[in-house]
Amino acid sequence: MESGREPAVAVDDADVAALEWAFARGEEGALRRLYDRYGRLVYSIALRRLDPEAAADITQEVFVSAWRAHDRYDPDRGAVAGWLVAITRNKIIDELRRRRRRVDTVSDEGVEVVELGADIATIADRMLVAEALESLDARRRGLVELSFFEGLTHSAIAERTGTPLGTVKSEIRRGLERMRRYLDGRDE
Amino acid sequence: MSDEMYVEEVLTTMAEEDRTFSQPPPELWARIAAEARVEGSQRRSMRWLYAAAAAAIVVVVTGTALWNPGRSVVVAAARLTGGDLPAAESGVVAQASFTENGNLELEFVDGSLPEGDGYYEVWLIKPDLSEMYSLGVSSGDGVYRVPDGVDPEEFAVVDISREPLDGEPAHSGISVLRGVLET
Repeated sequence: MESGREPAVAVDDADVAALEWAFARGEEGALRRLYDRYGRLVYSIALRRLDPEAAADITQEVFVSAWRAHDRYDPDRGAVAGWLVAITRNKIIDELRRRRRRVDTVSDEGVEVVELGADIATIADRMLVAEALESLDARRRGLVELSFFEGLTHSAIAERTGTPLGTVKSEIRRGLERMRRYLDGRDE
Repeated sequence: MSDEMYVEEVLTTMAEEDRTFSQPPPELWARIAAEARVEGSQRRSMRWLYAAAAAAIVVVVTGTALWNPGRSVVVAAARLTGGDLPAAESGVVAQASFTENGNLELEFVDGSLPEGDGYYEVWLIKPDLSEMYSLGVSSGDGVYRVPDGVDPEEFAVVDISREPLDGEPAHSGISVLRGVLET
């Protein structure tokens, strides 16, 4: 699996906000920008439980559905990335249900759907948060990674990076807020 | 569980595979653009194209190369007529012939495409619009190479689009001439 391209420069909130409003208004070119930015997120989530061909089909469906429903997206309620992920989740579950029904018609479908849904939701949330993490500028992202991936305390991070403790705390908090906004987008 | 706590939980349980992204296949955007544009209100022309393809409004020229003697044998042909051309040019007609050696030959039999902003591009498109190939920029009569393996029966719609100079490789949705290849 090829790792996706890294953003060359830190993407600031203004870029995302401009894209989200352009998309919500259905502006010309907004779908292309949305796809350029989040196509790999949608595709990569689908690829976790589906083959590449089905993942590409799902990605196509997600962006076409999103475009049809663009006026139901409200940037004030959360990030468009989360909103796309909610659509993605539903489409993957539908696809997997269809496949399972074909091979096993006697299974207890209710239980299965709950399990399926939980599995996809976990993957989707993790990848959505990973996407949000990548959108942070390098410094903020680095501090979040030291805290959560290396398990350092805030004072250990301050010491290691030579950053004032107050800055470490506020940078990490802002990073977490960005991630929460991404997750908020998926709650319709 | 508060939102912040949930974010923290997601971060601490995140594995390497959750942070590994793969790019979708390069042709996927063209598929999305084609499907979204068929439905878009500003993109009515592609819907028109769809209807035209379905209705197969064509003049059939079969077998031998009637209009182009001395060159390759024509295996499929289409008569292309106007879509989004201004009224004054709506009588423009072109003939597209797919030849045995894998070329698409384009000849304007009546009128020509008006000068204007942007440029014209020649396409072969599946009737359901799910896939399409650009054969290149058109400047009137010309011969276009069709990629080996692209079947004119499958990609039966010949379309000439007007493309703005926007660096966007997908079909603009502005179809100025089109027809359906018939063998």
